[in-house]
Amino acid sequence: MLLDPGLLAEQLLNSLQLAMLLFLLAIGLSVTFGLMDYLNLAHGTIYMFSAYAALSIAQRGGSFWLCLLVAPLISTAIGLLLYFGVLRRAVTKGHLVQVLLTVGVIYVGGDCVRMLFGDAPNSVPQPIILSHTVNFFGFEYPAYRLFIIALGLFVQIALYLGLERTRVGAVVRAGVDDRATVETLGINIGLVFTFVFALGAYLAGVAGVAAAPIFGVYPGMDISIIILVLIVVVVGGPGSLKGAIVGSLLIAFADTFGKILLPQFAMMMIYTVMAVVLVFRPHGLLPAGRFRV
Amino acid sequence: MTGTDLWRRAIAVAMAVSAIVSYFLVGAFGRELMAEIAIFAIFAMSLDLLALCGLVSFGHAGFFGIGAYIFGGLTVLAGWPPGAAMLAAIVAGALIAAIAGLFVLRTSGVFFIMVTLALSLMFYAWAFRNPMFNGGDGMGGVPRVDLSPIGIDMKSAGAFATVTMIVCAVIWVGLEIVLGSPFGRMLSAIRQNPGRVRALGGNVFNYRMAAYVGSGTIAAFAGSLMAQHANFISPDVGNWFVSGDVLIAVVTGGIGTLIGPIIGATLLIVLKHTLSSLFGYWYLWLGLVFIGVALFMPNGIVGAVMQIQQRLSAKSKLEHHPESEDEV
Amino acid sequence: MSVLETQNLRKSFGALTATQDVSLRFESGIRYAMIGPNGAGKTTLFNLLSGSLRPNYGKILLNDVDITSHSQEERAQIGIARSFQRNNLFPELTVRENLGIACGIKAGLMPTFWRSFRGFHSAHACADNVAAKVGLLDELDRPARHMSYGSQRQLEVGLALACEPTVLLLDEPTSGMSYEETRRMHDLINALPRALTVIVIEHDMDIVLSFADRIIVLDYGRVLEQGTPAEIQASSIVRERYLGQGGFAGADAVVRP
Repeated sequence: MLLDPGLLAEQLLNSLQLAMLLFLLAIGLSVTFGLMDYLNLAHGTIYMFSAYAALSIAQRGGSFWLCLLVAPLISTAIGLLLYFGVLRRAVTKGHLVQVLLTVGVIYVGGDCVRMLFGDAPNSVPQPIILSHTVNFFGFEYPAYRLFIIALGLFVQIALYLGLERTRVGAVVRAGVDDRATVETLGINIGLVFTFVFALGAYLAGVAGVAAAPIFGVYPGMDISIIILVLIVVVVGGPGSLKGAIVGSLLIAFADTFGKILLPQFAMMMIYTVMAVVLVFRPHGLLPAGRFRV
Repeated sequence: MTGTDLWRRAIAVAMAVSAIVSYFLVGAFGRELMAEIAIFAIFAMSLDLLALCGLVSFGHAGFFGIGAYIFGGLTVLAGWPPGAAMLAAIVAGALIAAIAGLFVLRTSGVFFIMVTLALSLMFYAWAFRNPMFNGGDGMGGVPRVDLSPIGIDMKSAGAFATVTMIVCAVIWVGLEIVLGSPFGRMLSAIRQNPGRVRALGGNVFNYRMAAYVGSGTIAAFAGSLMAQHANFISPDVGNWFVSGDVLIAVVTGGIGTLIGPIIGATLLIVLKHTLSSLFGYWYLWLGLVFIGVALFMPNGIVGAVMQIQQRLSAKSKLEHHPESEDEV
Repeated sequence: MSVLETQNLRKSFGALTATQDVSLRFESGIRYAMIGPNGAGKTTLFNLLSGSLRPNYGKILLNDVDITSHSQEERAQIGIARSFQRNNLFPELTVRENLGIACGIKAGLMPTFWRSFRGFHSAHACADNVAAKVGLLDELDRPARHMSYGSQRQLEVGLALACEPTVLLLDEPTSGMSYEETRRMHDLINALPRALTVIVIEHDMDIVLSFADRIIVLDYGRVLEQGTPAEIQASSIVRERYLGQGGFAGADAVVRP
């Protein structure tokens, strides 16, 4: 099967598209963990809220583009409410308490979504101008998936420039490296935390809308995605942009090609990759700052 | 530490008394619930042993599942007597923990959490696809240990509950001894400052390994009890939700307090049963409870009780010795 | 008899060479002070000696036995103990419990899991003993995190002493201490058993001159100079690079012959 260049190319692009979605989610979780040492399992809940917000807008006749514009803003707002109301208090309390707290948020969020939208799976339609295939180097590939790849690349470049070229980016990188020193420089680290959290939530929201036409919108989507994202963060190495990119690519490829080549081991493929990576690189492949031994 | 030890044991005695009282107040279904609580409490104590030395496993359901499947497989498929099958489950738990420990203990912190999660997910995936055990549908007909020679009918809910509760109490006593032993103190020191332990000549890896193997063994034992309780095994016994549940039970009760995990286990199961019968959307309420505990009792229920005890004793110290500068 | 020796020790962190070609010999029972500007590589050298860092090149020998590949715990077990520059204690445990852990490890009784720790009187006697030596008898039941900084520093040294070492490495034991606390630490160092090889990283020249038999000056990872206090004071290189033109002026220093 792999010998067919068309099918091979299609699967490569599928992997790339999945990698982009995973990246959008992983980068927020990774930097939050790298900077604040905060294990936010409720990150998937924000992704889910955005998808359901998009569903709401679409059901009222809104276009996909309106969803993409508005839904992430809604989920970011909810995320910030959660942050200030509840999540922020566990920043100094250690991972175990953070796990307890964010699992509680997951349970509450999951039921809220069920109460408002029911248990049945839903979907958001693709935008019309992208609902066709493109002749991509000799074979047909859905334009919408190419759009997701382009969107992901755009975000990656924007984040790279932001982290390397702006003052805020420098502070974030310094904070991931050595938070205590940054604090002694008189920088309001709390403001940086809030900014990083908000940006992570926004990107998760974007992922929620972008993934909706492909993965659907259903209760439990938060849990199924968060495990994958955690694996990406850990494999790629927490706290670094490069780590999130490499991690999402590796896991996306392992998942896509694993399902094709070894369907009976499909679920195990990713876990095995993670276990192997951690045995040789106990802190992930490209960790930042304090995780680098 | 004597003050806190005393309080923990007092809480344990209170729990035991309330368990005995409850036993006579509830009917057969209530007693089945008590058995489930006792088994889950043993499972939670096994995780607490690990948490004591600072290792947070998010994959303990894997050992639970291994214990259940070894017991179920040997009794149903290979016709082994339940007693021997339980022994096999315990030995399997120890062996697998020893092998897994060699890999898993090279990591720490969030990486340890993820690796242990990954291992348990692998077990789940294996069990789900395994035709020998009927995959996702699970396998029934799992027998209970036969205690009729000593006059106990394990098929009755009451007898089974009594036996499991006694087993739970015995394990508690055993782990309490470990907690107060030099080994237990070392685990606590390793949690607080592993680097210093090394600098003092202690082999941190060996102690962590011992804790991991002990923990996995007890968890597998609990799994074999669970198989008997349900007379059924399915992959869900090793589902990562179960890992999450037991972790939450330990944190809610109070890490490292031993009686805390028992309280947490009780609370979790009781809450799940009562909330699900009262409300349609009961995960909402469960989630709110978790949020409440995380925000207001981050040291767990037992931890919160200890803090009150410390404040009271500090207050009385000040009252009796106003000149002594005391801790906050 | 405990001779600790390094041969051509080198340690680099990427482009930064923290320790360069360091060959030193620490004789039994001698008191050494290691001085040098910040960043000279003193703590790195301690880390290499105690085993928490491995050198890129060179050897470490204890009584002519090559211990370069020994782990931290192995070195502590054969008698090399250290205290840390920043307090490295067991914060939730009391002074007695902190020292009890150290004494218990030394006595080899920590693997015991079937008996209460409270029953091991020898370990607790050892702990009380060390507490007396470092002047913490009145704080035995205080949790480490509730102690004053100076007391924590004393406990820091106590933990290293409890290992019953033959070579004791003290990393800036008086850093952050008040004058009173510094004097107490100075008395403590002077009261250490004579057979013990003691190496102290110190910035306070008063302390250095009051106890040191030999002074080793590090600079940029290399040994700049080593000798008796008189030799070091007379050294123009040392004065220029480290002490400044003022040298030891103003210090009520007692120079040991």
